[in-house]
Amino acid sequence: MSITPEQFASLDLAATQAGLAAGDFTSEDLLTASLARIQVSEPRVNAILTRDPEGALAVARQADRQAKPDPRPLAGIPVVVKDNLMTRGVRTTCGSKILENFIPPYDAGAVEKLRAAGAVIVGKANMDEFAMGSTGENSAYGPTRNPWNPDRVTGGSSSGSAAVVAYGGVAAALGSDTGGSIRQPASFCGLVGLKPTYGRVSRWGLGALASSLDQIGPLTRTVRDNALVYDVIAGHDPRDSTSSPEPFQPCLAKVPDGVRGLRVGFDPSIFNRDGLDPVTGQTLRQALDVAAQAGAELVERELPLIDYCVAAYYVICACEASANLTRYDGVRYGVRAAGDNLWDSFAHTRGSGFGDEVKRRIMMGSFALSSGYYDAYYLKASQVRHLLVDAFSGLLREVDVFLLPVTPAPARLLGTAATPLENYLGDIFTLSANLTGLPALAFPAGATAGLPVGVQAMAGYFREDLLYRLAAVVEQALPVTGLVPEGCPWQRPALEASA
Amino acid sequence: MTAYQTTVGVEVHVELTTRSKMFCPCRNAPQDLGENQAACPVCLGLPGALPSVNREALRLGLVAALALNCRVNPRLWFERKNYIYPDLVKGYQISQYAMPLGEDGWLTIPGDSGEEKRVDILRVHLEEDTAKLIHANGETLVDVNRSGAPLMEIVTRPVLSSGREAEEYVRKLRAVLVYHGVSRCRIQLGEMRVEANVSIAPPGATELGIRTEIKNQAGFNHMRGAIEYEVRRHAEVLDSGGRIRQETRGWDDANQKTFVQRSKEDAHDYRYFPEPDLPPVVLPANWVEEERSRLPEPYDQYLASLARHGVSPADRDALSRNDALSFLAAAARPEPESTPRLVKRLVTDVFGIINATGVRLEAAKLDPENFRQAVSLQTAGRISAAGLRTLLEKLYREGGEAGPDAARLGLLLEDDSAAVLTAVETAIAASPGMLAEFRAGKVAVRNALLGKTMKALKAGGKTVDPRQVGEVLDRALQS
Repeated sequence: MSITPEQFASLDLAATQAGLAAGDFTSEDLLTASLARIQVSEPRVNAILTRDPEGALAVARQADRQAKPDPRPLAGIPVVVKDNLMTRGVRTTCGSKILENFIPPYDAGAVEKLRAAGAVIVGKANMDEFAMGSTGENSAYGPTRNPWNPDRVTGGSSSGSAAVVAYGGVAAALGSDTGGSIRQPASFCGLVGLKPTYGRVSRWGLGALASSLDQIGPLTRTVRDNALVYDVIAGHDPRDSTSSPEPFQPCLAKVPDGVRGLRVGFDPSIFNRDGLDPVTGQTLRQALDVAAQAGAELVERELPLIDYCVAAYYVICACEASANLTRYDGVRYGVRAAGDNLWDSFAHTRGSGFGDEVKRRIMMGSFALSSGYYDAYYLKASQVRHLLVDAFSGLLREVDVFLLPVTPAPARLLGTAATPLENYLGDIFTLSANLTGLPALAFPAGATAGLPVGVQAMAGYFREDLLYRLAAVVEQALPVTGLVPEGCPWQRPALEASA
Repeated sequence: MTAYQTTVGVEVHVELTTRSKMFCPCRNAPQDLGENQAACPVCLGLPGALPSVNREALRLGLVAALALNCRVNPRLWFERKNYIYPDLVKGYQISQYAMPLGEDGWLTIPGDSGEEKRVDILRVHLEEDTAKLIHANGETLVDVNRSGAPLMEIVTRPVLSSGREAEEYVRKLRAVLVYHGVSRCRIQLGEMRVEANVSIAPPGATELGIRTEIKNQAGFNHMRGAIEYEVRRHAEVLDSGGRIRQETRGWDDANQKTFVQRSKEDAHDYRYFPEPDLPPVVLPANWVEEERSRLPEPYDQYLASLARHGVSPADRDALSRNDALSFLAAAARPEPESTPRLVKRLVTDVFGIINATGVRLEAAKLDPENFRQAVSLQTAGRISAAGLRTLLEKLYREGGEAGPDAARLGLLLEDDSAAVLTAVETAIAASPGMLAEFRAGKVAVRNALLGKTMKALKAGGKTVDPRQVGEVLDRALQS
């Protein structure tokens, strides 16, 4: 093999493209290295639910037969996709027992775009069941462990997508983000994670949690890699009526444009907020300083309506989820449990097929939508959502980018959440982007006790380019590696973060 | 028995005549396909499948709303109606609730009083059909061909006063919808389904009585029978001091009575909420006005205009008795001046075929568009009268397309003007005596020349319409 798993793990996409073009290694070499890295890491991490070595090999060999350089941006490069993205012929479980045997007959829109760009899909990533969770602990197939420290959670729901990139199984993975499910695990695993503008990436073929909040995006170790993958998956898809017809402007070329003259907003009261981990606050300050030094103008503004986000989000999310998950009834596909009659079979199928968090949200959503409660819950939450959209429109007329934490604290120990509500409250900083549809990017900017700490940037609709420009400046000033250092995953790493 | 006043409201579902389904590109032809042949991720409710609105279904809904004199909501949206059943692939039906396509319309019928009565229409909205369950050998199978087929629901206010009025209304509604090409409304194929709400109250009462709902009646007679049965049943219950229970009932046609299907306590809470997969639909004002301006004359005026077009009372009567009036209107709409010709063909050829095959027009494969095209072929001289009859019979039995089928069946007359002209000139040149006789005023010679020409053409292997040859010959003789 002309590339070792360790060498492969540290390659970014540009270096991978260059090596392929120069003939330093083949796509088949890359795949072999990727699978070896996965093989070694998986017993402890549990990031991958299904591997597809045969399918991947066929694509890699096809890429190797193409003339070099191959103009397709991901030609012959291994990637992983979250297991709620439909992959034709490859099992897709959404992290649930109820789809344990489900093999989709079609590819998701984002998966089609990856394939068209030449990507080699090596496997499907573990996730909280139906993307419900922010720790990775709600998967029916066991929790994913944080490669930086296996006692810690990865964050979720895109737990496996984050972990596999962090341990170097692939350079890029797709996740989905309904309330922070890309940004939060990215932050916990030292990665760059984008929740694009709602409507920018097709949801066709994404097993839905909450249709009005779900969005697909990339997780990578570098800002540039993230922009590259985002450019591949973004764009209009007529099969998704919520997909935006707004012309897409590629971001990759703009990543190095810097932040000189940009107005970067932040809320000074955040630093004194109850429950905010001090290092998380310091990391945010550090990122703001970097931006200022690079020529950005810092602007103090209040983060609007932050205390209403959790309530509004969990009502809307549960309501939409309660309807989206009714189709899992065992009639046409998936696991069916026997019953004495139809209703009995429905009850057993869903009773044994869904985990506790899924049942909890189906019950909450069904209750909130039921006759007599609609106005108090769904309608009220929708009104909060409108207020939030208005408030952020105003805010983003006054600043170009707004910086805030991703989570109140870094990754916690596995199995230590006291109540579901405690987990819900951890989503407080990520929810506004989903409720408003605005793009938001998490990227690493610090560390504490061997765990990475990220910050989050939000910008106006379709201004992902601004997010990348700011993140690239911080990345350069604070070189926090997204890759778990060698000697890991199982030794606690000494994270290098220097200003 | 006390004399009560009866109040009836009617909900009608019709399947729209679109090529594709309501929310996906699959074919909307449940009857023409083998089981599960229209079965994409959307039809099956697979994870990740998303709906997109069929613009033609929206247009047909708009046409219906306009034809039924509704106010059209320029910004409308869809809702999810949630319930779980094996024929509902997503566990919710995409329907319309808060903001339907059309509201506050009306239709006139001959009322019980003998005068024209205006029936208020509450709403017209679009939704999707369910899959079909097939129960056989102790098993239940699901056919998703119909899953997601476009469906329109039309709801009246409770303003009808009897089973008779309800029947008049549904017949009129059906004629109007077929006339406007919105649906074929073939009841036995489930393209039109009717539900009625019935209540009675003492004369002069200001509030309606408690209602019962009668589901899925198979035809107009059944609906009327069921309503009249319910009116009698309600009266008997009230007269004996009982109370009506609000419930859903079915119609047992064999025993001519209704039976309880579901009581109010079992009624669903559908948990409607706006469909997040579909943004609100904004109907451009110019589109609405364009569709309005393209509407044919109102159905009632059309009936009157048949008489003006010279359709005899006997033919009009024959047409309406055979459910053919709406069919005719749909066929004639693109070129109203062809109405008399189409009527003639309907009353002679098509009614002949109906008698020969025993298949009713509304169940036949012949559609108005093909009928019109077939007749046009004959009018244009491209097929003969006998050929038209053959073609119509084929289309009636099997369906198809008029032009290509005429060619396949070898019915097309050759349009070989050069050969015809040559044959005509040859015939005249070969008989200078006949030409002289003709010029001397012996016009019958013309037919002899025509015969000679046809004979020569036939010998040359040409199938040509005699009318065409006659015209060419006449021009040659005049010159």
